[in-house]
Amino acid sequence: MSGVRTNGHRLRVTIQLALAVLSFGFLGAALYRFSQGLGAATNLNDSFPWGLWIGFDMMCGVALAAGGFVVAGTVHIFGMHKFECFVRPAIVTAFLGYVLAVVGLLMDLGRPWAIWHPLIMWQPESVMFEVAWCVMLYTTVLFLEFLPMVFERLRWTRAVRFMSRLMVVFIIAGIILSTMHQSSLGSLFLMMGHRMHGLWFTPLLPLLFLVSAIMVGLAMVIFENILSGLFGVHRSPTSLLGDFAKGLPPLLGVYIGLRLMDLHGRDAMGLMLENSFESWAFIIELGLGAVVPGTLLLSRRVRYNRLRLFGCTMLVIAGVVMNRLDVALVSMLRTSPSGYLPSWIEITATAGIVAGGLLVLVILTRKLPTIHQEPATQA
Amino acid sequence: MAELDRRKFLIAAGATAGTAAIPLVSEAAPRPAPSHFDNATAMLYDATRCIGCRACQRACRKKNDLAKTPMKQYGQEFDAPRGLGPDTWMQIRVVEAKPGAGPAGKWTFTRDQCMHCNVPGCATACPVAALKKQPDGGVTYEADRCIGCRYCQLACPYGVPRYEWVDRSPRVRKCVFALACADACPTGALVTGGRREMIKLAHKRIADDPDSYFDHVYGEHEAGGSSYLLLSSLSPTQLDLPNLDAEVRSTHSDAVIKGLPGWIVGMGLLLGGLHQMEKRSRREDDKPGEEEP
Repeated sequence: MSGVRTNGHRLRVTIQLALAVLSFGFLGAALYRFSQGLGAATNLNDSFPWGLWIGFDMMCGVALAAGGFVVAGTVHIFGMHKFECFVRPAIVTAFLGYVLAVVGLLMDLGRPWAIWHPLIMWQPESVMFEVAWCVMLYTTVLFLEFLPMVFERLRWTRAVRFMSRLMVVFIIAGIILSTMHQSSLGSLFLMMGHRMHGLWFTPLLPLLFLVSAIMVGLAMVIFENILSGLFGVHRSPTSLLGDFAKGLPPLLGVYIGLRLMDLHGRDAMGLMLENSFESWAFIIELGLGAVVPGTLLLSRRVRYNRLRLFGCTMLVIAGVVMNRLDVALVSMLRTSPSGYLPSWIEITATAGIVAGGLLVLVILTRKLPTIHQEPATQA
Repeated sequence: MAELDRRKFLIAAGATAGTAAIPLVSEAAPRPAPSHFDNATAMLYDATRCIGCRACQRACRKKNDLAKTPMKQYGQEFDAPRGLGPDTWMQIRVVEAKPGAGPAGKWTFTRDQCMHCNVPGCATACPVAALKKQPDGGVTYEADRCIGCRYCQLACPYGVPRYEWVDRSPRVRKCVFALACADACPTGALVTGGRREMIKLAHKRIADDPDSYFDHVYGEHEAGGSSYLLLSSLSPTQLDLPNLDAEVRSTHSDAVIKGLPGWIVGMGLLLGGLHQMEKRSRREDDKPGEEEP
């Protein structure tokens, strides 16, 4: 028994070391980017101005952080209190996800020192202006939702009580901001019809981004819980995870329906069969990322089996990540004379940001009462 | 907060669904080119009068203090820039008609620069109004406001804005409508005046000499119209200009932005109502006496 434990411990230390090394890689990449400029550090150019840092760090980072508002809504608005134990880990992850998206954004912005300008220089017709405000406000709300865990750790009982009274307001504000922000990331592309492939450009983009964010939020919560169980942090009962997964097939169904309805409405169904890089990216994204897990999760034997459930949520997450990359990058390859492949600096920076986030998550999970409320402060 | 009864809740839910659906699903009707730029300054380029001397290019470089970039590409030296760049805000280009698409051997000069749209995609995209359409017709840029998100580059249907990729404090670079080029033109290929007046002049030139022109004033209707207008013997497609309809670029995103207040109110009512319902049902589940004082 003790041998198994040491092996697990050794594995954990190795993983944490690897994450730390990768995060140092980020520091190097950041140093290079800020001393040499965007042109030297990235493969971006005038015909392809947004790359990996927007397509992955921002678009995927925010989508994968959707678990926070999805669980908060499920528990506190729809009153499904048996899922209460999912709330805190999801909020920690969401908060980290947003901080990481902002770090990625700071790398990508040409003038990062001016990032606060939307606060005082208003242009309310701009979708980017809405995105900027949503990021600022929702990161603040997530911080406020995260604070009680710190207060509990410090045993500031009065502060905990005060925060818990205001929590409903934060949660409702957080859900409204999230729906706005998730959809507005899709709205950003509404002005790029002249650049984008017909499989992805549609006036429905904001709605598709919102629905896919909700479903990936749900999948992320299950995925994380199973993962943290594997690492011995906390093991949620399979029955609870399976119950939560019941939400996935209907959401995936609505999403698939919307995608097909949109394609048919725009007479773009034929594009799926053009046998190009884009058409295959689309088929894999929707087929493997939505149709397959949506169908499999209808079965009880999949939902209530940890390994199968894990696999299905991984497919959903991969599908949404692919969708964001397809919208932001793949759909624009054809209209750009230069094309685009991320530079190794872009990849190093992104890998470092993700690794840093995971490292902080591991540390926070151990140091803060992220799973259960501390008994001393329970109301 | 007053308790919502079932009817009120249904109304709130319906309103939410409604406000959500309108901006997202409804196809916005195409709008005609806005008329309030009729009297703004416009510049007409008539390629049939252009001799390709590039005096305009020189004047632009001088007026805007643009560095002379080494005109080298693929190891070859060129005497003129190959396309727009951070220090090349306009350029004269020779275009030969593609075989089969027009009279063989037909060629023309053409002139690339910012179109100065009436409703510019770049200015609508810019989150801090660094890019702005001025009442006099030009689309200007203020580097002190810019955050460097480069959304303008993606939103421009003509692919005009250039970025200082090698700079540590990079700016967006494009024509700012100084009109030094028009003053420098020795042949009258570039003329400036009120927008409506310029469009009338362009159509008159086509009508007077229909054999010399392709019957289209580029920029009259494209993407809501622009302050830069082109006349040529070749079609816009031959000149590699994008084929755009009269709709402004921001039609879809405008609708989404306008729908936001409705979304916030609707979602607020829905979530508040659901929370009240949930709280009441929890209270009913609890036996009396078990409740905390």
